[in-house]
Amino acid sequence: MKQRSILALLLTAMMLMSMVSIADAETPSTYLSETPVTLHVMRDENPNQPIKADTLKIKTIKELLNVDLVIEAPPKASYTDKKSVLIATDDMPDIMYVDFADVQAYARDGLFVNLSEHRDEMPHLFALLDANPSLGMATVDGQFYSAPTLYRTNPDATLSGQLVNFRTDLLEKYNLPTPTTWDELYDVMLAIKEKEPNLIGMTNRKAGNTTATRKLLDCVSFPLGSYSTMYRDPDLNSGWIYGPAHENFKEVLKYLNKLWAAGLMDPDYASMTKDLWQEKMSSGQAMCTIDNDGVVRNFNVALATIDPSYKIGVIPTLTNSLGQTRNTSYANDRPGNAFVIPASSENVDLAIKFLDWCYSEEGTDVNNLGKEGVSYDNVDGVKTFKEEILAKYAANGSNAIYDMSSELGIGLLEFTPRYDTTPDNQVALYLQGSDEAREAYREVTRSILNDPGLIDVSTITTAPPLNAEQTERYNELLIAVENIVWQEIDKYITGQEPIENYDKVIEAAKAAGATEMEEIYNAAWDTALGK
Amino acid sequence: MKIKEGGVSRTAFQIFNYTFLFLLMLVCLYPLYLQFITSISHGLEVMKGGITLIPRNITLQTYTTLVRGELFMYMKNTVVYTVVGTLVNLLMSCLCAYPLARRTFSGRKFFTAMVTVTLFFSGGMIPMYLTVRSFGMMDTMWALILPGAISTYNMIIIRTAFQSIPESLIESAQLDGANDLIVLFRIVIPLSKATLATMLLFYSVTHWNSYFDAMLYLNKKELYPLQIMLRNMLIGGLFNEETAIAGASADSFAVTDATLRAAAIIVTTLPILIVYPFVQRYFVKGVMIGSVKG
Repeated sequence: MKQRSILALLLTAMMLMSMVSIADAETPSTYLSETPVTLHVMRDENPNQPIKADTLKIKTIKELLNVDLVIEAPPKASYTDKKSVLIATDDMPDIMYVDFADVQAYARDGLFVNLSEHRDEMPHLFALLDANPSLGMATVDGQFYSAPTLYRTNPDATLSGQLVNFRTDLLEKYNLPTPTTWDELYDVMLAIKEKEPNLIGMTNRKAGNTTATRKLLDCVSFPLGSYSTMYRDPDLNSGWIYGPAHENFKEVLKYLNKLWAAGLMDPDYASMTKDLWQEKMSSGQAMCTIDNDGVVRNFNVALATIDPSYKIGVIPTLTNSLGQTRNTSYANDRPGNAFVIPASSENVDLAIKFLDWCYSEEGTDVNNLGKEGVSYDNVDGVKTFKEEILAKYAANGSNAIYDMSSELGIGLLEFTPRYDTTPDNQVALYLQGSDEAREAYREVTRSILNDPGLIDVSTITTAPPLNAEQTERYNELLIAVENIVWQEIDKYITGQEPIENYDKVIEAAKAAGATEMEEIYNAAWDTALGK
Repeated sequence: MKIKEGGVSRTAFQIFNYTFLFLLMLVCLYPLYLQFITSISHGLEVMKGGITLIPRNITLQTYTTLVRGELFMYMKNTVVYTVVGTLVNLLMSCLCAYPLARRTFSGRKFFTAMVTVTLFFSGGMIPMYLTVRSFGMMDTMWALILPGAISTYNMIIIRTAFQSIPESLIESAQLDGANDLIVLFRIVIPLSKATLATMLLFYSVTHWNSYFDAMLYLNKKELYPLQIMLRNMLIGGLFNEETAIAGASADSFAVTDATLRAAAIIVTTLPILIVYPFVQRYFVKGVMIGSVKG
């Protein structure tokens, strides 16, 4: 009897236990996975901005998405080597930052996930890609294997490019008008040179792997009527052309030669380095330079220590001899820098969802601004960094933006597929110090933003996607043509050869393959547009 | 007669010699001196140029920036890798060289040949990477130490030094009951101090300067050595064109990429410069060591 009652009790208890459902803990709807997952992502680290592990962004991502983001950041100087080894050994992290050239080289071998096949799972990314058809150039055989770095604008956004910077104090001193054409620029420089023969007219610098001459031409050839490589001229309506192999390039060389002959070109222009350029600009030796206006504006600090009246600033886009008023601004969307998901990753589905989240408004906010209420406030859609945060880093001067971005884990130099320059713009404004200075700064940046002559460089230079055969042939021809062209250019600038002889170089370039290069690009362009 | 002539021309030669060597020393030291004065000068003065002999507007902000940039962590890593790496190198090289130096070792010719082949051929970067990965050494300091534990060239030099020790000495030790390990550590190694000091210098300088293996096998920043930071500064450059932002005042330019580069060079080279005078006499002795037997 007793045994029976114990058994009965046990059975009842078991029944009751099986009927009681253990209440599930509420998993937030933003979680990408119920269990915490670790995602490894990789991008190069710029020495300016060390990528840290336990930043506000990483903590916020963990809170919102239940994802532990581990950012592997090989130094920028070694990134190409490291990337090549990881690709070669198929030992890539879950998401990797690559150049579009890598995508073209390896996508067809199945190394990267075809994102177009996951369109439904990536609504945010594809909404942005569909909205900008020119991004179709970042495809391989019509499919997206990579997610390009995209731009989101903000109310304080500024524009920058290789603009004409001039010592405006010299214009005031000698009562000269601000030049509006390149010929007027020449006249003004000549006038100043007569009064101050020790000054250099126009100087330039070397950049990256290119020569100083190449960098000079990259900056001035478009404003002067042509371009230094393959491009689509908006005024010629000619499709893709190789600038140095066309008639208008002579206008560029003619102008530079004119400057040289009048002693207005830096005599060291062909061997200038970045350090020498900084030296000449900071010591007030040069009147004019065509370069990144933000960098050049910084020289005012050094100039002020020599003479507080010295001032260098941007002048509006100049009109060239062909009647064109044009220059380029830096690209906002950067299909050349993209994120891929290796097919061999163990977390492909999660990586897809996470990458797509980075392109959403929320993801863009976290990656560029941090956490609402902690690092920034959102008032009626206007997002402003908190005063305490800006003040904390402002003491670091020109490093402020890097220190702030590094601590918070935000910005373009971090793992940020969709970037927003709000931190840069707001720090720059804050650093001006006073409201007066801020207004002056806004005036300058607005004048650049509203300059009608500026066009986004990607609209003229984003290359069409080439297949393997086209890529090989194009690269072969490019080397041959560039070898011919770049050996000759200095001779025409310095007047060693008269400009009329440049027709020979055009013929030689065409014979070496410039025409075929144009045909390849135009065919690929039409294919990509579905013509 | 002979001595008198020798006296005048010898003095003249000595004067010329010392003057020439002094000038050569200045020429060799000047670049390092220039980097030093650049690193302690204010960034704006460096930007304006003209710093040649005297630093201007001296500031230590560059060094504090480096320290803030976790200089000590990188330096600690480099010191650890160098010390541990050199010890492992020396131990392994001695253990390898000893049997190859003994005439009584029957497999000597075969193993010497096998080892010499590695002087000329290697598997290549990708197979090495896959090997290190398969051993689970990725992202650990052992990836920097174990694959390169023996430099064949250095090991052969040690072997030659060991060979110069008379076999009879070793035999008499063995008669007294010493085994090979005792012979190696108590007799052979103490007698080869000059060679081993040279090898210590060679190996430690290699470890100090290495960056490629670290770049390849290490992912965690906490494990990076000093050279990676230096290389990133010199090549990666601090001049990021497209994210350049307007600075505020002269103070914000106290540290520029030129001053940081100079400071990084000084910090990376200084330890070796300090250690070298103490070991250079072994180096001078050791230069000829591989060539002359006995």
